[in-house]
Amino acid sequence: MNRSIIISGFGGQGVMLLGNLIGKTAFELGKSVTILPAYGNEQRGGTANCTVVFADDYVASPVAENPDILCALNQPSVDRFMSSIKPGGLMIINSSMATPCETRDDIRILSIEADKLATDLGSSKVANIIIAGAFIGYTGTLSLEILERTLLEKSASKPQYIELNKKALQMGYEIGCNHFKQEN
Amino acid sequence: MKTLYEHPKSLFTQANRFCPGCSHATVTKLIGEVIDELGIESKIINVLAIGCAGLHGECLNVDVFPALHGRAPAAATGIKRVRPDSIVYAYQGDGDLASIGLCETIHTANRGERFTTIFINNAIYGMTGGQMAPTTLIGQKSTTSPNGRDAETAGSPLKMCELISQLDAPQYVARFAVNNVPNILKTKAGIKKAFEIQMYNNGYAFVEILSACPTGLGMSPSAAINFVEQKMMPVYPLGVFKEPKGDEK
Amino acid sequence: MDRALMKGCEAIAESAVRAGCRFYSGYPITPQNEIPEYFARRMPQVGGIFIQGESEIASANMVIGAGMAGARAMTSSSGPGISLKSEALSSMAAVGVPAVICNAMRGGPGTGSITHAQSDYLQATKASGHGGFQMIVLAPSTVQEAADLTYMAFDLADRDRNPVLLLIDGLIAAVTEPVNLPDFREVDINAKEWAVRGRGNGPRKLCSHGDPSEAAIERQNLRMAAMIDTWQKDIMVEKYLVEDAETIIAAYGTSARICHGVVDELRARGQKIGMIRPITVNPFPYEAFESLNHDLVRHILVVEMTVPAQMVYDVKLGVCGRIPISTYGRSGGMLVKHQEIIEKVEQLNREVAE
Repeated sequence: MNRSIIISGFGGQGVMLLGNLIGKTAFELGKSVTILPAYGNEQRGGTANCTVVFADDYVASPVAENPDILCALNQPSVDRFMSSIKPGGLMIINSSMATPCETRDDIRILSIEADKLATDLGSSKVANIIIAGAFIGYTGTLSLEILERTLLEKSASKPQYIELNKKALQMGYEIGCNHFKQEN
Repeated sequence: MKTLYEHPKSLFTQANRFCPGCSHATVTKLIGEVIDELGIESKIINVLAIGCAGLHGECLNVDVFPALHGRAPAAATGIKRVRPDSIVYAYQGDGDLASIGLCETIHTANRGERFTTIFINNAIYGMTGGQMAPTTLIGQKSTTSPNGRDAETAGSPLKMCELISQLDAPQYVARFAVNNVPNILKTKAGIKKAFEIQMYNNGYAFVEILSACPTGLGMSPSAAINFVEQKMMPVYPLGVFKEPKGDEK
Repeated sequence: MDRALMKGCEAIAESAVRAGCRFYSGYPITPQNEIPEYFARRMPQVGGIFIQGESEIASANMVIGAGMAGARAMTSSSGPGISLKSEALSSMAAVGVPAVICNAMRGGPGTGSITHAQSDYLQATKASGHGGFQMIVLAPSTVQEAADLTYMAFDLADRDRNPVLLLIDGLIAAVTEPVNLPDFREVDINAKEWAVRGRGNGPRKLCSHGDPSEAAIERQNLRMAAMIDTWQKDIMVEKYLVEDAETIIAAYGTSARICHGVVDELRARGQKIGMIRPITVNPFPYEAFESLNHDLVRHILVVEMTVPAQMVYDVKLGVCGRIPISTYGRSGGMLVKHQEIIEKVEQLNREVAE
């Protein structure tokens, strides 16, 4: 199994953190993984993005021209990447900031008002963590427990965010699980 | 019978390859004497420049590394950082130090690298055949300033001691000349002090020496000495520009 | 052996530290800034030296000094900076300074773009400076391989007293992957009898460029030629599903990685396709191409992130005109595209069928 994920949003939305969280979790589970940040010229135009590919055996290319999953945190990300999602793939969309730019019957779309939910929890900064939880909950891949442990390691220097991060992750996870159950 | 003078042990007895009347030979001998007097011949590393300064390395019985044009300060930085117990000096001419290697010279001094720079300023490129140096005087003719150096197009002579002494890190910055016996003795004392600063104060020292290049200037040895005294010294005043605070020696 | 999740640049720097590298000097340039940044944090922990040089030129010359003083020393840059270091590379080869240099290639020429490219292949393998010297050039395609080859590069440099170039691109520099880090090695800077340190009680060490006479320089050139001959044993190449392949892709580094996926996909569709991936690009694995069965292989596609193609010249030397060769490339900092490579292969298949 080879999973490719593009995470994309504005700089400051925690795109790289989200990519590193998913990648590190795959690493902790003993998988092969690549995390590729887009930088330089590709940062222009309002989006930063990060490609994560993981597999049980090996990852050939760290580049995903047609990702299995898109985590779109803002509208430019949807506009740029939605059409490239592999048929049968998934788009997790932060519906506080973006809407689908086209109609596609061949992918699943999980809409989450991540910014609003995060703000309600206490800080819009954890919108990316809600997305991370939803990713795990909906896809059933990787491990919530290990992702949480990784998240807590990464946020060790900011103890004020620990509880918030945990809550956001759990909330996202439940949303993801519920959506998956409703659809199946 | 009393021995008044001996050939420095660090200086090979074979003839050097400097031109007759060239001040490089005088300075090389002074460095040999200082190395002997300080007893540091076993831990000296000489980093050479390209140009006539490169011939200096043949004369002394010490470890030698020849750096690229202008890069002696960088190479010396690498050597001294890896071997902090050695005594390292870069020996450079004016084209090398003040033109192609100016960037390295300034930054090395600014970092206060713990080695010594001996700068031979003779106001001309020697090895390549008498071209204009960054220290060539206004109006001075050279093969690339046939009508004399023009400040309008070629800038003014670079005064390295004045530049280096503006920096915070250098411990000792001084200009000497080897035009006569008293000045030769002062030069030797300055070179010795620069090495001592490296040995005891562990700081950067920069010693500029006004030198005669009869061949490059197209003059007799005595006329070249006169050029140093009458033309160069007014532009490049001798003296100590910077020394460690509280150092009375 | 420690397993870690690391960015390419960081794995290279850590692997260098583990190989005993205790001197790094470099100048900021994208896309390799994480190398000096890592060394800046790491060197003080292991008693090593990090200097941010005032220029690429100064940095490379500091490495010359450190290498001549006996330390394992390294510098890194990207294309424009490597050009500035070229005088030092030539000098290293002339004087016999062991050092490791990393070039994280970006788009060119000139300042170019700051993202991934493979535009310095010819510079790296044929002439990284004046005077006709050569270096062993190692071209990893994964972070693991980058770490392993960095470690090996220091041994090769010491063995030959010659600089070794690690040729990566912006993608390998930036991608994060699991890596098994090599063991720590202690290196005695006094072990190299030729290193300058002060002559002690022995004869002086004159690490000269040598006698500048024509005869002496020719002798030096002959010694270098003899050394280059010994590099045949250092050749490394990956042959991936080449045995029954009718189509061969030739690619190295990141291009090879993307082509790996292409080969897998086309094999799954039943096509007989394979890949030859040079790991040492100098010495080049000509034999891998010479030994291809030209009755079986119908065409070779050279894939590089540079336009016009560069490695294709070496492939041609190996193939000697017996098999048709085509090129596909993207440049300017653009990646070669999986889908475009597949289309190119299918187009070539059609042309051969006609």
